[in-house]
Amino acid sequence: MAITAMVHSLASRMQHWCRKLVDNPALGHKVSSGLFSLLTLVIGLVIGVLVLNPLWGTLAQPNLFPAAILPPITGPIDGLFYIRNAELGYAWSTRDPLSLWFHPLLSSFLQVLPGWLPKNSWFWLISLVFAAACLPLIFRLTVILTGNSSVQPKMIPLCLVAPGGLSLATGNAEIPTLFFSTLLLLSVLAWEKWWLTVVSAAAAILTKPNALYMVAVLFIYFLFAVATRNLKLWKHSLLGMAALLGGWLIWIWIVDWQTGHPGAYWEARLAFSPYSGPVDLRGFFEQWLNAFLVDDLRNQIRFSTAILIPMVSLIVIGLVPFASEPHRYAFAAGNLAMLIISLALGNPNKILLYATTLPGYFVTHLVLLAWLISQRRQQNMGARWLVGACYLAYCVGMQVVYVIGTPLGWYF
Amino acid sequence: MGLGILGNLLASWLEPAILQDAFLPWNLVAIIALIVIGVVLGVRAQGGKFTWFLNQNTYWSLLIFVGVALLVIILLSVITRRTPVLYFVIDTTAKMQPIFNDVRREVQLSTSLVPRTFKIGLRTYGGSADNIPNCQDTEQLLPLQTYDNFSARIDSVLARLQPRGNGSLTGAVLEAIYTDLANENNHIQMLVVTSGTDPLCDPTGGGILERRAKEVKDNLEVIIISIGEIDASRKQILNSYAEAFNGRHINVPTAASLHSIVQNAAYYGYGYYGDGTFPGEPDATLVP
Repeated sequence: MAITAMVHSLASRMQHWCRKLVDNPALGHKVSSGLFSLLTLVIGLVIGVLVLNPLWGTLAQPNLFPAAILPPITGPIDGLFYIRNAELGYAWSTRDPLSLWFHPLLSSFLQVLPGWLPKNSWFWLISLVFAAACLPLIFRLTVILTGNSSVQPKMIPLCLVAPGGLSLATGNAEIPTLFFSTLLLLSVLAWEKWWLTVVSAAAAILTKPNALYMVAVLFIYFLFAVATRNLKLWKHSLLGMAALLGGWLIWIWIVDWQTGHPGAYWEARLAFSPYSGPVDLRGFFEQWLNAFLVDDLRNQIRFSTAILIPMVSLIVIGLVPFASEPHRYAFAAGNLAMLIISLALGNPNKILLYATTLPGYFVTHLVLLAWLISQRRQQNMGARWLVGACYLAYCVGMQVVYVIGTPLGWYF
Repeated sequence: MGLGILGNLLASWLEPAILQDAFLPWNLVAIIALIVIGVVLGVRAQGGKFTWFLNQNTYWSLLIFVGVALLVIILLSVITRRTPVLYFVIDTTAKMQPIFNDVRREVQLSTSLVPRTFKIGLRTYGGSADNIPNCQDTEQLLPLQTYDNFSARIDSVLARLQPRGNGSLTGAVLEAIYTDLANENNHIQMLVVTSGTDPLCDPTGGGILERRAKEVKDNLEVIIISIGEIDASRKQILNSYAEAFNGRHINVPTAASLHSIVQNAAYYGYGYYGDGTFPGEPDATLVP
């Protein structure tokens, strides 16, 4: 009797919710974007567990996946160093760059989490939670930036097709950074909550220094706001930049103070490889050329992807329709910031994953796909086919680099 | 970006050395200044409206500009590519006796992977048959140049040597810097392979070297590689030499580690991942 009543109550509640969703398309969009985000994560996890995990374990170069980050999906590449900082603390006394390079937020999270699970499992779970929270925000941002509904929630799983998109299912610091950066952009452009702007900017920079790309993005919005006398946008973009730079400076000061050595942060950051030659713009291109002269596949891929990914992103940004042109310039500025930092430091590592920290990355990917498969196919058919084929080949190529290249160290 | 670099390219017709300047940060500043001036002039021409600038066509123009600039840089990198230089200074004193054959084999193997475009040279110290200690015993055995088969050449040269006598590491390095590499303007990586210091011939601290080492050019990178276990005091001495030469000292357990170090030196950088240590060995001493 009680069970029948419960089922009846549940059914009536569901009916009530369904009616609410039908009556309110905006709410329906939110719910379906949440559901498709979860579906995306499930698909990503299935691929991750059934394909990436065994493949990475089999192909991994010696010592690439030490015991602390097994199974490999839990913390590939940089994960080890966040986990090590959480377990052992920062190497203040030795000023080990492998410790000081990594910003503190994720390691601090790991430190306070209970010991029921190993740290690498927690690291993976944290990343998955951020991925699940991030995808609806990406969708929300897409709708705001394009100003139309050409991108449907059912397209969210296509984020996995984007270069580096499969990292949504792995343990990493890039997706949490993307979450905070997207939150920051939404706060600046739509929600206009000063506390959210400050908190998300500070959290983004304390997760990874890649959040600095957002300074370039916000600077464009700031210029546009000044030119159009948009006071709210002016304030929020400036606040966001100040919080990003302020958070960064505080962390630099903490590192210098804890090590007792002024300039320790910069020294660690510049020492990206003790064996490297000239790490500057010229050195970057020389090493790239050298890789082809000596037939060094790893460096060919490492340096080529560092140029190719930002350039393709810039082209995609130029192709897709935006509700307002400043968005195009803002995203381009973010990409250029990533490219310039990479060139200036002579460091081509991990651009495939760094690109995913930019909020515009998945947005432009989804909008481009929506444009390519839109109903009005009769328009510019030839151009669409060409762009579609090239972009598909690019995505497939980059997925190969990610899937095969992670255990073989091709892109880092 | 193009104007600054193209300006340098034109100047290089008059004087090739000027091409080096194409990569100076000032060019970047000049390029950014040009873009800003262009935008400001454009905005003024449009009655002070900034937003005219923001349209899709302008975006594509800028993108083409960036693409062309990138191509120019790549082209310029090809034209002005610096010839990488690897210079070996190998210890052939008596204390190298137990490991010399291993060192010879590893040097031969690792140099076989160095591209032919590299300029390579070899200097040794020690090896004198005299019973009287001779700290000046150092000789350039392979001059700095490109070789078709350097690994075979170095192997045949090392095969003729018998580790014995005394020799000075610092003396050999300074001789290489002031004589063999004096006219070399490319980026030089000097790999000094030793099993430790010679108390008879080497100073016990880097301090006395500092005055001479200050004259060492910026294009030189000295990597002192000590093989096998060395005590703390010798390690300290080698560290101080490395510091004096503005380089670094790496202690490796066996000669087998030479392979990866030479490879890294030849390929500019390896990667820092894996077991959490830099490639080569876990005891790398970074100086400073």
